[in-house]
Parts: sequence; C-alpha cells; structure tokens
Amino acid sequence: MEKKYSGILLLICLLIISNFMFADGDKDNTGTVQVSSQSLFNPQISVIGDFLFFYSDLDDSILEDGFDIREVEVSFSSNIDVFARADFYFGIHRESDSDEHSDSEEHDHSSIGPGHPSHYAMHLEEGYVTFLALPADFQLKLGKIRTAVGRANTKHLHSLNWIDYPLVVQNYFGDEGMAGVGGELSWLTPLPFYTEIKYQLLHDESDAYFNTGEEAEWYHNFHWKSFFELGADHSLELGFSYFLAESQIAHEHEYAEEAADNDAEEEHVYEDIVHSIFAANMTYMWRPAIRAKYTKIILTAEYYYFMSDNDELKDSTGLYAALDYQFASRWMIGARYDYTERPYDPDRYENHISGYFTFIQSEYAYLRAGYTFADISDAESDNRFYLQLNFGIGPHRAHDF
Amino acid sequence: MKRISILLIIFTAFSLLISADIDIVTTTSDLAAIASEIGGDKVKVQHIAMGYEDPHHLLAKPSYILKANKADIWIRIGMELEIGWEPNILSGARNSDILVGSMGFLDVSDRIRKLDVPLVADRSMGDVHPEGNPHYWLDPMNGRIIAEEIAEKLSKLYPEYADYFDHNFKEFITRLDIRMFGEEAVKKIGGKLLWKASEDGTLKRLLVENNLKPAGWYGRMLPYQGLKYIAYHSTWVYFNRRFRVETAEYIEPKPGLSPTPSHLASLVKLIGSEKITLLIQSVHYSTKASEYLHAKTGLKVMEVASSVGGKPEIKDYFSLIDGLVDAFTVQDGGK
Repeated sequence: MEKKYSGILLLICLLIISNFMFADGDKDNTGTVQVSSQSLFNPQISVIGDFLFFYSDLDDSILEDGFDIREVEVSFSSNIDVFARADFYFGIHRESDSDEHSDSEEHDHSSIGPGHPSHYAMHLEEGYVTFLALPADFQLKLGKIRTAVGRANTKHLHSLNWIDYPLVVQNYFGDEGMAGVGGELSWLTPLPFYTEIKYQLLHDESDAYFNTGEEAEWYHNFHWKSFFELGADHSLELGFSYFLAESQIAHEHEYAEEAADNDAEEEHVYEDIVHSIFAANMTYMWRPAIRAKYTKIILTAEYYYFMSDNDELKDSTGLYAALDYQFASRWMIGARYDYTERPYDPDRYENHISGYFTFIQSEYAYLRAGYTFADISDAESDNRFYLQLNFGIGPHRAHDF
Repeated sequence: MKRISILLIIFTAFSLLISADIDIVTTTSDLAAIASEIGGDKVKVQHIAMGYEDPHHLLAKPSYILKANKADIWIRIGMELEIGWEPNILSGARNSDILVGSMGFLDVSDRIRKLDVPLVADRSMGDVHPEGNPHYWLDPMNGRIIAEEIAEKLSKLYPEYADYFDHNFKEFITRLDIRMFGEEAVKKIGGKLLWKASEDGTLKRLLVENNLKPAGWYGRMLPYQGLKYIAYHSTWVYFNRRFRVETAEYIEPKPGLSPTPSHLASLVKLIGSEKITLLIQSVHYSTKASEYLHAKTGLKVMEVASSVGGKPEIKDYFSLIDGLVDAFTVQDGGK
C-alpha cells in the first residue's frame, strides 16, 4: 500500500472503531435503546463490495480470466452544519500493471509492493463539500467531483444497471470515468419543469483522453439537465453537455528528430490543443407507481461528439443505447449497444453488444451475469463473460434516480 | 384607460401578496390530508408519495426537488420511512428553510409511542427500521398527535393565524374522537378521557359505568378483538394495538423480502391450524402470493389503502381509517 494512503486508512479504521464503540447504547425501561449522543455525530459509513468473475476467449483481453475483487468502496457522509454537507468516497482496488510501473520509483521495498498478488491501492473517487442553499437557488460543490458529461459518467459503478461503464466513457475518460478536482456551481432554474444548469471548473484526475499525464489539466464543463414527469408512471430526462479542455500533445515527428540529437530530458516538444465535447443524453423510465417494486423499463441513450482545434486531428464520436427491464421484484434483464471510435481516429472503432441478467437478492445485494461481444476494427473479436456480485453494508442508501 | 389598467395590475399583484399561501410539502398523503385540515385556506399542501405508492420504494424524482424548493414547511413521517429518497430531495432543493433542523422542518414522530423498536438492528433481520415501525399514522390516536404537531408548528411560524389553526385543530380532533368513540361518549366523557382509557385498557368498563354503548370505530371493531389475520408487511402494528387485533404472520418472510415458496407453504399450514380467515394487504403489494393462499385455504383477501388516496374513495384521514375498519367488519357481513 502506498505510504500516502496509510494515513487515510488509519483514519477510516479509527472512524469505524469509534462508530461501533459509541453505537453501543443502554436499554432503558421502555425498551428503547439509548444511543450515546456522540454517535449521533458520527458520519454515515457504508462499504460496497464489487466482486467480478471474468472469462474471455482471447488470451489478451481487457481483463485476466478469473475471479477478482474489482473494487471496494468506502464512503462517509454527514452534514457539516446547517449550511453544508460533506461526502467522501474512497475506492480500493487492485493496482494495474501501468500503475505499478509508474509508482515503482516511490515504492518502499520493505512493504508489500507492486507486483505482489495482494497489492491493493486506495484512491479518492469523489470527495466534496456541498453548500446546500446559496441565494437565488444556487448550490456549490468543492472538492473532487465526477464530471457531468452525459449521464453514465456521473454515476458510481455499482449504481449502473450494467457490469461496466459504457464503452465511450471507458475509452475516452478511463475505466472508472472522469472526475476532477475543483468546483461546481449549479442553478435550479425557475422553469415550471425541473431544469438544473451546472458549470464545473475542474482539473483532471483520471485517465481522460486529453490528459497527457504531465500535470493535471483544467477543464470547463457545462451541463443542462431537464426532467419531465409524464403522468405518475412515465418520466423523461434530457441532458446536454459542452466540455472544453486545453492540453499539450507531443508531435511525434518532432519528438523523433529531437530524440536523435538531444538528451531525454530535452525531448519533450508539445503543442497546445483545445479539446471539446458535445454530449446529449436521454433516459425514459416506465415505473408503475402503484407497484413500483415489481417492474420497470429504462431506456437510456447517450451520444458524444469529440472535437479539437487542431486540423490534423479528426473529430470522433461515441454512443450507446441500453434497454433494461425489471420483470419481477427480484429479476431484471438488459441489453446495451456501444459504438465508439478511438479518440481522434474514426477509422478505428469498436462495436459492442452486451446482455445482462440480474438477480436482486435484496435492496443491498445483487448478482449479475453478463456477456459482451466485442467487434474491434483493428483487433480480433472478443467474447467476454462476466459474473458480478455487488453488495453494500452500512446505512440504507438513498435510491438513485 | 391606461391608468385603470396599471391600477388593476397593482391591485392584482397586491391581492396576490395578501392571500399568499403557506406552501407545505409533506412526504406522504396522510400528512397532507391532516395538514390541509389544520391549515385550511391559509395553506397550499402538496405531498411527495402518492397514497397508492409504497413509501419504502419511492425514487427521488427530480420533479420532487422542484416541490421542495418552493416549500415553506416540510413535514415527514420520520423513523427512516423516507430514508431512501428524502435526503436526495432535501439536499437538491436549495431551500435552507426546510433542511433537517431548520424552522420549516417538521418530523411528526417525536411524540409517538414507538413500536417494534429493535434492540439490535441488523440487515439479516430484513429491512428493519432501527427507530421502530414507522406506520404509526394508522392508529387514529397518532392522527391526533400528528395534527397537534402540525398545528403547533404552523402557529409558531405564523402566529398571526394561530387562533385559526387552533380552531381547525380542535374541530379536527373532535371529529376524530366522535368517529372513534361515537358522539354520545365524546359528549358525556370527553375525548381525552376516552383515549386515556383506550390506552389503559379500561375503555369498556368506562363506557359501562356511563351507560354508554360502544360506538364508532371502537364499537365496530370490538367484536373482532383477538382476531388473528395474515398481513403482507408489518404495516398494521399500530392499528392492531389500538383495536386489539393480531397479525399471526406476514407474507414477507422478513420485512422487505419477497415471499418464498417454503414460507408460503408454512403459511398454508398456519392458516389451517389457527383457522385464520382473513388476509389484509396494502394496494401497492402484489396479489400473487395472497391469491395463492386464497386458492389453497379459502381465506378472504382484503386489499386496502394504507394511505390517503390509496383507493379512489379514500379521500381523507377519516375515510382511511373507515376503510381499514371495513376490511375487518364488512368482509363477513359484520357482527
């Protein structure tokens, strides 16, 4: 485990221990448990486990065959005072090879280190303070926030109806989607239907396609979200995003010429590029109000258009559409189609067709089987099989819409 | 003409300001029904969960945020009934008046005598509520407490209407007392004493001492005291305690869990051995399991509203309790 995270882990352990210590109350003569007043101030602590079995008919597929703990998410939430609340989400997952190599110089060889089969890393997925009620129906978030590009990217992995993020999110923003550190100002408009407009100024902390990795890139993001209740049983959500980021990209031919003549330190020749994304998302839901526990249909689609101010870089697109049907209180089936071009390389693309079958054991656990046929323009097609177990312990989670 | 138009506009705007409603948003339709009784024409009441919806399984639709944004007062049942959706609505509403702990926030469970409070709360027990069973509005005595809480909050926030709210409150509880015990008993003994006797288990004696016949909901339910029935979910514990009926077993093996074949088989045995003839469930639960039990044992299945608006005819708090009493008394033609 990296040294810089050991303090956070210690803090989490202390908070969990204190939660249990203070939560033990005495029973009074009315049978009511009198909880220590201190425990009322503890933040809500939840842990979500995500276990995954994967099998592919290719030797060099996206994951290694076998069973793994994909992620453990530990979250803390509490009001700070009457004006603000804080939410923190830490992800613990196995470090990938690339993480291992990049961290190798900092590694303390006396501890379990990169390359060890049980090496897990912790990172802050999201952590922000929300100022709940600013004047004129504004709200401010400061901290690490998921980027409101489209809809799926704003969600945590466990709250999706699929095993992974849509391909366009993975290919452009990284396996875990895009999040950044900075601020978000949102406004609830006075329109007669729900409409929220967001502006985010963040610097990237993920593997987004525009991030050269040299230093965090600042970006601007605008998001418009409208929601329409179409009677008690139907609803429609529409969203539009416009995203702008500036980063530096190395020119390969110049790089090569420089490399021949200079030392490695002097080889970096970059060009400023302005990247922009237009995204549109739509979610239709049918959920009969009278027996909502038993059935629902969700149709979701998102479209992304990626542009830059560099004429040499071709525009590219990505999209997905998914249909999910809960046909009984504990059973759900779904399908998703993904089409995504590689960043600025529309000649290289991927088509995915996926199917899912979910058994909802309870509100706190589900088991999902999935299959994906991946058609990749410049590689062999891939048949991927998944089995996912997701569960949560801790307080009742509010239901995402 | 132009001057008249301007004057008209100013007058209209002024009138709107004068008659501005107090915006109340409640989490459930039952709270909305009672708040409307107390607030009368001074309030505009909206609710989040419809009477036919299961308040445990609501999703926090963004449109609810819009309602909360404009609210002056937010009233909830509490005891974690709304925990799956209320936090998302309040944190998105950008309304500091109704945040938890603010003046416009009201949790009406504070003075309720809570039942089914688990000594240890664990998810292996199902979807239990650590603060106790939250379906307390189904005891008319608690309807009285809810009305009192709302009247106090309204009077505190809008003292200029305090007399009006107090008048409405008194009228409401008088009507409630009469529906519960009958007009004669309320006139002769008074609602407070009657409720106290109901709590102590001395109501029957009190009525005999005063030469009064059991009437109202109490009178109608009296022949059914001790009756055992099957319920879908632990919705009726407060109603049971008030009217001294008993839920023998639930269709849900544990709170929130769907019935399993083995659990239904055990229910068939229980219904036979205990000679149970009645099953009561809210309209928002599937009737699949109850139809199975009906087919196997012949017991009568009564689908009832557990909240105002759960059925078209359940339009207020009084008809809600009427509907529940009817489920016991009408199903066998009454006793």
